[in-house]
Amino acid sequence: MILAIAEREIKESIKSRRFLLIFGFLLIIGALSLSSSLISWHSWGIVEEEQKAPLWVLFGQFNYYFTLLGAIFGIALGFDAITKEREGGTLKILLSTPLYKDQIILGKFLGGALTLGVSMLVIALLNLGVLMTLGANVTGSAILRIATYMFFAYLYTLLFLGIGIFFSIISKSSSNALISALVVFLILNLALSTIAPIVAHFYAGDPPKRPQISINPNDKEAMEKYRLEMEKYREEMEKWQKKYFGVFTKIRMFSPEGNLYEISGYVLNPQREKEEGEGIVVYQGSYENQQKPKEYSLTKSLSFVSANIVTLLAYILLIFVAAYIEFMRKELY
Amino acid sequence: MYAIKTENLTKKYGDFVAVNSLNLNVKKGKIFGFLGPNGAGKTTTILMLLGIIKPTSGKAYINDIDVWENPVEVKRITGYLPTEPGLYQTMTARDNLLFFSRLYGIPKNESEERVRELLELVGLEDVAKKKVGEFSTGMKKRLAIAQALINDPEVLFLDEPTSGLDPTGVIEMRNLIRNLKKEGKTIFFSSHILSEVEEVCDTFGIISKGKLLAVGSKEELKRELMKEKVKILVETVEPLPELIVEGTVKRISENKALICTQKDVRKEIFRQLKGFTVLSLSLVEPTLEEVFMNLVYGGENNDSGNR
Repeated sequence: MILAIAEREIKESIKSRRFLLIFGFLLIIGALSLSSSLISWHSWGIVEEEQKAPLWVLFGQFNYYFTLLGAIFGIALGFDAITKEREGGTLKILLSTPLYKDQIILGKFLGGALTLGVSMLVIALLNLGVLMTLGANVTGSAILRIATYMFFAYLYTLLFLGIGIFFSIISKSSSNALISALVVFLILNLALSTIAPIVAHFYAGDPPKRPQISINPNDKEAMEKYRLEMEKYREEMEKWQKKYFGVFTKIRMFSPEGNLYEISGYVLNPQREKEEGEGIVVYQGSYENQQKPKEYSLTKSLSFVSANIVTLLAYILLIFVAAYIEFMRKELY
Repeated sequence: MYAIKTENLTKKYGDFVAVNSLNLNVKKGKIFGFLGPNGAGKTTTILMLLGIIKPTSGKAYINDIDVWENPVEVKRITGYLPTEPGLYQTMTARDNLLFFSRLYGIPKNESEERVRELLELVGLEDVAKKKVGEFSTGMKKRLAIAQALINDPEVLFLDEPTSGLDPTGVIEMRNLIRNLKKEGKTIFFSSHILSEVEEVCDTFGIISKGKLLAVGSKEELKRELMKEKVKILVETVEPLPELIVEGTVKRISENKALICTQKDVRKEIFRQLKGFTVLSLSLVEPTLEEVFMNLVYGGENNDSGNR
């Protein structure tokens, strides 16, 4: 019976104008952003011809748009899941059939999750097709990393589906549910991203100033003094960065968009590593030592963002459990 | 065994008592008319009987099954027609019925046949593949009836089934209800329009402000009212003398009057009319509408029908 509810939900969703509009938009954005990133990479001219565009460069633009559109996609599929049934009088009928109450909400979850899942699969396949057609670096390992990224992007949409469904349960009308879900989306994604650097700056203070000394290279004493000041500056800068980024990343951890951004950064870039124990993202100085940068396995890359993955999953679990409890508790008809 | 039974069924929303200690019994195969003005607690009662909302206190039983302890069992044997048909507008009539039949676990081959029969029963077989959103109010109501019958229920709850129907639709609905009764179904028919229930129901319950004011057959309800308010029509050939009785005497004409009293005083009147040619001295039976109006509004605005 859960399947009957889910099946109807899927049919209803994919026929809706809003689904077709956002899904179509995501497909177009995917194809265009990937093509444009690839063309830009080749047109920069600073890159050797044989060097293929890395995935994180290709997907950078797509990921940026996806954090916005993916969230709206999830909300669009969930915000009227229950209110629409109530407004159309069908909820009373569903509740009068021999269904357990939770079968209705589980069917709604399943229907929305499957609709999003299939949509994300189509988007992933199209993205892959675009990259292959344009001759990008699509090895077996790259495909696995793209699939992993798309999976987390799917989880991201799932979270907003849950937020949409939650508000469709507690709101009196679909329009109220939509507005509430959009407000939460704005707080979680935009407000937290905006607040994070402000709070981090407030906590860490102004960054240390670089020593401004005019020196004569022949004056060994002055040179030594400059070297010592620069060393002190570097130490202070490192401390400041630790403080600043420590707070910044912690706040961003509450933002689903921040989490997806972090996860995608590591999943799509096998060379990216995390400095152990500091919680600060640094890029290895591959250009300094002129050595081929180390590449991490996908499992290792994922381990760098385990906290972000756990946060994202916790968010999803929290919102789905809250929606479930609210649906079961509330007298809806 | 009663098809529907309630014991002190109560529903409160904060301080507001929507249904107050409702006790009623409906025999199997009967049509029960549940009458009351808007907001009296009719729909809340139905939703409690269907296990959709939880009573604050009291019990409800359908075919001896405790509704709140076994709601799914109750839902298997009941059908429900809400005031506003609950149908999916973007789906066809046939798909709507097939969808709901799945929720009752009816096998696909059986449900196809059942849907075809029901569409024929409600006269919608020609528009089976038309989207419900394109239907008229009457068509939607008919389809909603088919939906309520999808599981061949033993007990059927009809909440204002004739609202929004044109006169032909009302007649068709009444005939359909009568035919369902012939099939042995118990029907709980709620309405705020007395004339609609009066014709088809066997017993009646009158509810107002959440309280069941009276229950019984039409005759029982009338008798109940006549215990307290007796009307006697008296007519003579000669002009009527001044009658001295407890109560009020309304003169209709010089030889005709209506006497409203607390008890039957026909013997007393007969004595006073000694020597007169009495054409009529009879109790005037109240109409069900009068009973309804008297119970709900305390006898005010008896001429207004519905308020």
